[in-house]
Amino acid sequence: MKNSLFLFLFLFISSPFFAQVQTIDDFYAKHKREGEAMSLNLPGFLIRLGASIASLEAEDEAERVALEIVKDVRRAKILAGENLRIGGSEIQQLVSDLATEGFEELMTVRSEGSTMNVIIRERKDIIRSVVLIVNDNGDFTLISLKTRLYLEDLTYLINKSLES
Amino acid sequence: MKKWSYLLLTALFCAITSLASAQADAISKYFNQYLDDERFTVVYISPKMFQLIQKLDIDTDMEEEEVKAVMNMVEDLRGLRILASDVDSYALYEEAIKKIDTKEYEILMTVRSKQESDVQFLVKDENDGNTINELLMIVGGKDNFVLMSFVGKINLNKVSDLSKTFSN
Repeated sequence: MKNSLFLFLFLFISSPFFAQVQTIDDFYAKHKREGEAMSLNLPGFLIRLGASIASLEAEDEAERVALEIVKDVRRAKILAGENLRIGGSEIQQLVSDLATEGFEELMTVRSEGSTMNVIIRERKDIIRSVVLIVNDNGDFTLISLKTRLYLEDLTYLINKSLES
Repeated sequence: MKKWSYLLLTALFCAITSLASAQADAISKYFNQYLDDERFTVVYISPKMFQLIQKLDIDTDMEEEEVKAVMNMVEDLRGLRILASDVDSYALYEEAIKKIDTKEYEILMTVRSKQESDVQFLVKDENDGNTINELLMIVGGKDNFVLMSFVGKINLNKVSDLSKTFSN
């Protein structure tokens, strides 16, 4: 009985539902120690705490809703820095590797040496992961969020923003 | 039996990939080489983004009928790709006009202006005449070249409903 419980817990914890994004982890590990790189790995409780404090100061309903949505972020990984050795081909490779892990591209913009990619992983109408990659003429930012965002929440946020 | 299953799977895969390539938009078909060119601005909005927009229930200042007409249009869209440049813009416009197969794309409208830009709207439609698979806009002038491609199953009746709703 005890063994079955452990087996169940192991399978549940190691299931893809809770799995880290391997591609992001590898990319993060490769570049986090480069020259001027800044790397942050924020756990969910810290994000929720920050959002709770900020919501006390929220001035309107849209801001409050946005902070409520931020509370749905379970983990955030940020890698940023100037002059990182990350070329366009490496970013393209990152995007295609993410596709093999079930991510889908939402939007890509490239203009005058800057690129932006927004990529998400969704399951049953819930956005589970969001990855934002910005490369602005050598200034690189990667934000990877593990989330549990419901489309209704986003709709509500957009409607509130339009109202205010 | 196993051999037949493999053959069937291969045939199915080939059919799906050929269908996918048949549905490629004009930009990825004729201007693929420019997609990685630093002189160009490239925007790509994926089908997934349009799917998400369709699921959003957005209230706006627009009247209920107008919102319905816009959302009806958006639900047909499956992707948007923009390619723009301000270098050699008129030469690029002429290249685009030459490259695009007129058997596949039909000219919907052309606007020619001496001082400003030339604009051409082209459509790739289905045989029923009511559905457009792609709406392509080509703009070329002294300082700008823009290629904009909307892909989807755009129903002309819905386009007409939209224009009626906004004109009323």
